[in-house]
Amino acid sequence: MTASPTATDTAALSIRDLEMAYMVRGTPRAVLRGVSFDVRAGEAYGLVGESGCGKSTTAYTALRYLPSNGLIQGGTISVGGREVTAMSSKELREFRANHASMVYQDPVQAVNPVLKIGRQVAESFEVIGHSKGEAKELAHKALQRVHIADPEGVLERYPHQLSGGMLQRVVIAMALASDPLLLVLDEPTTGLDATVEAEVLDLVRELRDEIGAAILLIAHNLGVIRTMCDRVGIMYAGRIVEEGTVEDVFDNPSHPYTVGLLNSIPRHGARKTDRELFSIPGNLPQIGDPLPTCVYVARCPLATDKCSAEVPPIVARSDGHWTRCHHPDRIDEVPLPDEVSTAHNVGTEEVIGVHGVSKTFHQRSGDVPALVGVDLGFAEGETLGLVGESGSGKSTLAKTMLGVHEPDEGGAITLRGRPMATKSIDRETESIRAIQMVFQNPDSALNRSWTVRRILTRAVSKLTGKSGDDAEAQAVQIAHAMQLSDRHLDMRPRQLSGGLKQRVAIARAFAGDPDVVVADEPTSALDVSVQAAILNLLAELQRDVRTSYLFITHDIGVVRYLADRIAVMYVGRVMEVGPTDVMFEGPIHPYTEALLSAVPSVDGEAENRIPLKGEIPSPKNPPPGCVFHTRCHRVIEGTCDKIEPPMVEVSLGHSIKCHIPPDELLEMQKVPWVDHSVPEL
Amino acid sequence: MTTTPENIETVAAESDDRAVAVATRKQVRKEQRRLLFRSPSFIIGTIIIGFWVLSGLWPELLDRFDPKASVPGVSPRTPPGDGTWWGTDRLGRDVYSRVVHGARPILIAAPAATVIAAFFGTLLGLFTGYFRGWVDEIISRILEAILSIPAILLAIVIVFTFGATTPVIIGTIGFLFIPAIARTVRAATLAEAQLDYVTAAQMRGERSLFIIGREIFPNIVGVVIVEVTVRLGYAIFTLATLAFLGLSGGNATDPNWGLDVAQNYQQVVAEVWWPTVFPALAIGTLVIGVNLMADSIDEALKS
Repeated sequence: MTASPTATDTAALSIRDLEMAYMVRGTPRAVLRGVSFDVRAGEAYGLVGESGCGKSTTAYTALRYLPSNGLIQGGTISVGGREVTAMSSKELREFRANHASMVYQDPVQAVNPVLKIGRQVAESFEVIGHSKGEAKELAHKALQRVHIADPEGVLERYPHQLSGGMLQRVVIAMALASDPLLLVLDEPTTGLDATVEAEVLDLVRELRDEIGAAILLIAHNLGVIRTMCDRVGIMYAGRIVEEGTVEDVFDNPSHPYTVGLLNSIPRHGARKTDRELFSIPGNLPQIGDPLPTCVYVARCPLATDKCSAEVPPIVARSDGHWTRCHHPDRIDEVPLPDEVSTAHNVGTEEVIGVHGVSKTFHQRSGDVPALVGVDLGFAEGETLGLVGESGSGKSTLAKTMLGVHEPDEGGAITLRGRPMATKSIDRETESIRAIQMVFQNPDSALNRSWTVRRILTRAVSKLTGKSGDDAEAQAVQIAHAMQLSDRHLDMRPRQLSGGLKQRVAIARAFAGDPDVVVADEPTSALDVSVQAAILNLLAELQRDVRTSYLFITHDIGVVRYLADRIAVMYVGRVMEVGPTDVMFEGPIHPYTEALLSAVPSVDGEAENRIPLKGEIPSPKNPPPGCVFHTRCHRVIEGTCDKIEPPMVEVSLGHSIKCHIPPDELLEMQKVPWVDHSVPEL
Repeated sequence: MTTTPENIETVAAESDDRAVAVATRKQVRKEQRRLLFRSPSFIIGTIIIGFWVLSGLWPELLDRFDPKASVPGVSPRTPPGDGTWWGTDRLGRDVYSRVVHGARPILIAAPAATVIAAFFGTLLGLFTGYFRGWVDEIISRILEAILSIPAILLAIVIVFTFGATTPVIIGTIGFLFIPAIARTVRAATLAEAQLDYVTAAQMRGERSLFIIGREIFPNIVGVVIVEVTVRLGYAIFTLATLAFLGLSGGNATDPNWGLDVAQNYQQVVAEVWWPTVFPALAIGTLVIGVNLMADSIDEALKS
């Protein structure tokens, strides 16, 4: 294997031909199959790939931070000129304390819940030799550095009193304590809301220039990599298959895998009515599978006999941009996803309506109005995208519609005009059949002691009233429609991959031929390629059986692709609802504007982020006047904080809950937003 | 986990483009069994329990003399030796044969009591954990109240009140062990009820009884099994203690480990230790054997 084009002597992190395996049931199984790359000081390098491709393993191996069954089988790792693979355990400890830091995916698990923040941050300074007094002082400075409001107060708090975004800032502050040579960020924003994610990414970007460390960023979100990194390595099955600057790789991909990944996400405002998303056929090879030639050959649309006979060479595409492929010149031949030929019809009759529904949770500490006067309707074959930060009431609305929560007196949920019983147990079979749900996490949504056959048969018999062989026959038929094969029917959920599990969950929701399916972030736990397959399936089902969807998501790209209309929720209220294409032209509610601006783009579009200050208010104490006025960048003092704005119809079917007249809003939104406020310290 | 190479081949061979090569259920079971059969604690536990179960089923196979009559030609308090392996007690009865015959009563009573406790405890735990609310509050407080009183004290009071017969003793111990099992099962049910498959079942209008019995219960069976094995050890211990205190549910001359310890321990100071130590060891080994098995089963299920 040849060295990558970057010179080793200037690199802060230099990995060469790294081979690593996990011992599983007595046999070493290869995970990394010769990984080589360099990260210079002050540079951010991104690693991208599907889950299981070895990107996190690479990061952990770089710090020799491996479980007891992890074996480094070959290659070198050098950080700042020191060989990590040759270190004794004492040297390694000293190295990790002083020269390398890591930020993990879930900040809640990265901090000790019983120690005050101050104690934990100070400890990271004590480890590198500061006295207790100095450490306290430095901890305070460290929190200021990551722009935490009220650092004194935060130092005295416990982790559970901070939000996820704040905690991730604290974790970053601790990681920077030692002024590391190497900073590893492992999916640092995956568990966070898009708005919080944007803030954390802003912080990292700002600190990047300041600290001069080599940054290794692991992410499966291509947009995050594009906006954060200088260079990127595309990983597949334990090998880097393409490397280059983010512009080169994302704008001019040269490996079929990179092309596949990029085609599987909805880009450039693509819609379900235009074409399908590309879904890479097949699955990632298992760890330990022998892959003697090209690692991607089994799933590659360009594969020839040569590909399965010879190891592909490294082909330079431009300066510092290379691909590991036999046929980089045929890259244009990678087929585009199918165009959608059948028309997509949205009916006019309202199938399910939500009319003035409120939901108040009565807790010991007081009433919590989680939903306030929500009005929404679904036409046949329509997709309504529901967006908003966590805590805005999206899932509560879904569960109220399905009769898990009982709405307050006064509101009604109607099926073709007739009100349904509020609790699912009181609903008639017809009402239950009409509305079903697909959950975010298929692991939790499927009973792990049931087989797929039993899960589906039970749903069919419960929802359609069929029994015995009839029910089972229909269950099998539905499974086939979801592209599940017969052998999957007798498996239990733990034997299936994430995408297959979600197919089973979708099949269950479709068991009774529902009118409306509520999908609560059904693809957020899945890889982009699997997400593409699931979104294609949902769109196809909609074309065929004209089901309506309530699609809850925080991924604006997905909503734009799939939704006919979008509703935006904030603190239990609908702030805006309108047709998708209209919403992307404006005018839009200032909250929607902020949400849209927070999404990191894969296409390298100019960023004009509108920061959302602070946290989403608790529904327990909603702000007076307009609930959004505390965080609104277009707030009108004296009006917004006193009077609740009415829902104003801007155009047919497009309503905004805002005091600013729509035409003024449109003018305002034509000019890029400039933040004139003093930055928060 | 230890597995042979052939096994890995089958796992790999079964993977195709779509199914993930996570070991199949059969495979997992097989690997768990293999792990279990190789664990030293399981092997030792099985040997110990095996011996006592054999004694309980066919004591005639193992005994050497009539446990209730003095051994002819041997004086009382003979130390362990060739004729009487474990010596004779103060009435000249063979200690070994008494210990062998003493297994049956305890091996009937302890599992019976545990089954009663497991049945009601699981039922209570499932219902309180699923429905929660004020019924759960009240039941949980009552269970905690029972748990806060030393079990043996309560057992003495109850057995004294209703008479020291075997059914009463079994019922008492069964009753006293309900809270501990109920609490464990309740905690497992609470966690299970948070999962979305339960919500999904509610959304398709399943009755609560179905959700509890058919959806949740299969997922907490492992917890119940482990809890039952642990309780079995405690039940043996409690039974022996009650017998020691004279609440044995049989005649005073019947072979019974706890009773034998009680009747002979005063002689230990006179260096006649064998009629006390051997039945005491029998109690100890049975409890240890059950615990060894419980631990290794727990470990195998978790692996």
